[in-house]
Amino acid sequence: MYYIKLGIRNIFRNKGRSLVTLAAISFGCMALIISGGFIEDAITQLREAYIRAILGHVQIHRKGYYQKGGSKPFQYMIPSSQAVLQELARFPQVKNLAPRLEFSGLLSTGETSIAVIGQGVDPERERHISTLFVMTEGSNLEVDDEFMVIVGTGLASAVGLKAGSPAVLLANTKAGAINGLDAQVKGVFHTVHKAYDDRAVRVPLKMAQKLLETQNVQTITIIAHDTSQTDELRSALELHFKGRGLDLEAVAWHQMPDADYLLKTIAYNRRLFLILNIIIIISVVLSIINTMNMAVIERIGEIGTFMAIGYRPREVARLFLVEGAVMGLLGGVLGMAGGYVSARLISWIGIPMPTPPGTTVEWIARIEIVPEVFGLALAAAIATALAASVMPAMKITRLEIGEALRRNV
Amino acid sequence: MDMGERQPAALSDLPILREIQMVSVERASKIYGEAPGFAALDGVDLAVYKGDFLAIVGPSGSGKSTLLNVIGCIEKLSSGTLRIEGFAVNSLSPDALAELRSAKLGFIYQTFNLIPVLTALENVELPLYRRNVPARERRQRAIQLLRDVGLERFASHTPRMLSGGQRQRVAIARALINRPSLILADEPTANLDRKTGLEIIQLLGNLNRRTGVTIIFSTHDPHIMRQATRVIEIQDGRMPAPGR
Repeated sequence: MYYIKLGIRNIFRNKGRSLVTLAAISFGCMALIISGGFIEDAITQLREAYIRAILGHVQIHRKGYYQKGGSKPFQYMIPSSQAVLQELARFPQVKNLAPRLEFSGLLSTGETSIAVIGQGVDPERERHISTLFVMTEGSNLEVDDEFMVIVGTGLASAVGLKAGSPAVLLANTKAGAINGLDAQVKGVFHTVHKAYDDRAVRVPLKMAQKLLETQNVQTITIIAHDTSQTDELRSALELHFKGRGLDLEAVAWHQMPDADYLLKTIAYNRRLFLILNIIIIISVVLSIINTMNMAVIERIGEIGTFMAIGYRPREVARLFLVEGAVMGLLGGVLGMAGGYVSARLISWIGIPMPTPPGTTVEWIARIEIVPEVFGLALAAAIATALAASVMPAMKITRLEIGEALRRNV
Repeated sequence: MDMGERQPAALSDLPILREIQMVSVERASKIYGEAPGFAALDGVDLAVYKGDFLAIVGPSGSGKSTLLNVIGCIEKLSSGTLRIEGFAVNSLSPDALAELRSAKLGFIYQTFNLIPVLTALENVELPLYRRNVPARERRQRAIQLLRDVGLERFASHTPRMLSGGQRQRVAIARALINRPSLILADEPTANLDRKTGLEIIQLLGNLNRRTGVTIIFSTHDPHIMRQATRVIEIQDGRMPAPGR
């Protein structure tokens, strides 16, 4: 306690120098909070865009769907009865759920044909799942739509489709025959995922079932109340399936093969943030180490007095380390306050961002308030100030007392 | 050369105390810099007895401060032997020397050497913080000492708010807080006017007579040296006559 009291008083001893040091620590702390909040916002926006346009939080499949479902899709069907959907809807984490029937096929315009990934969706239920699904032309599927399709922007421009264009959708039926249905393009959409938009076709579930000659679906996509509930929901569903002896599996968004790009982007951004953190911390250490050094040089006589009256060099060094830690704590608290205000202000204004690689949309960046980043910034502020105090403290342990005392004159 | 006027009431006059050697310095040399270097002390012999109120006198640069620093275990001898209460301290580790200074010695400097961010009371308490003395006892001892030096009502003042004489009184209280057996005062009156300087040295003399604490101080002021029970002269790092 005594060391802390002395540390605080010494900080206010040379107000000008302490202000400069506090400012450096605070700005470093703010930089960490803003950069961390920016990257976290980018990750959150990208993740939510994937989840709420393509993946959902959790998908229910027949076991082994991801391993073999691609080559034998009809062996991995699940019933799409209202009873199944109602049973799943009873889980408290479930906000919305919708069945999907996936297929691959050909979309023909008469002049050209192109391979597509098709998705049969329940228009009413899917509206609550794909909330970040953006229509750029025409309109989304409705409950009453029978032979309507919507296509991704990349696909539309590749084959020259627009709202109102006729198209023929071809796919293999469950029996192995090729089936085709005439349809009309109702709209053009985009998601965050360009590769998906280049090949995706969405059709009403009934049309897809007619095309494939099945009454079942492969996937039930679930949106939880919050992304943080994903794993909790997945575990609860797994437990439920096991208890009921059902041959089903629940897959969280981050376990899905389609999330590969998203996960790599998240890992990339997190690594970027780490490197940025290191650069900021080194900059702060370098900018305050001189002032910490000056504090020792100015007080060498005083250090000599401490040692003359019996303080060991490491005890005096501890005084300076505590002073550094207190300075870091003060700077960190100021930086957190400044970071919070700046983050709110920047988020209120918003930063227009260009289209990121692999996506199709421009976006408005904001600064997310992430408690963990605030904690990290505070810890970094204290660690930084401590690190800057280590060298001066080591200098103290090498001081000759007599020489130090002579500096008192 | 023993120049001091003996004060009949001095504890060091008691025969029993004359037998107890507080400090013994034998053939002490302190050389600064690389060979051949500068000899600040050159073959000094000195014995200080329990209860002594000893003045070391000499011109500037004669080695007074170096001798006090050596006796105070602040600087190591280049050669020779230093004993405190009979124990040779030459070979003690820096930590052991720090412990010895903390337990046995008190220091007073001409520049007072108070910690500017601490109050008078906290400055007096300073040596006790590292010795884990309970807060209540620490405070009681410090207040009593401030009362002894006439500064109780200045307890909450920082050094900047005190006069030179008051600062030196605080430094004296700080030197006494560990109940040391030896106080070393390096020109304690040099930064004070003559009247205040005399008051300070009389305060030290009274402490010496009242408590028996051994005090060694350096000065070049004849008025101040007259207050000592023994006076030792040092010139160019040597003692013209044995300091015994």
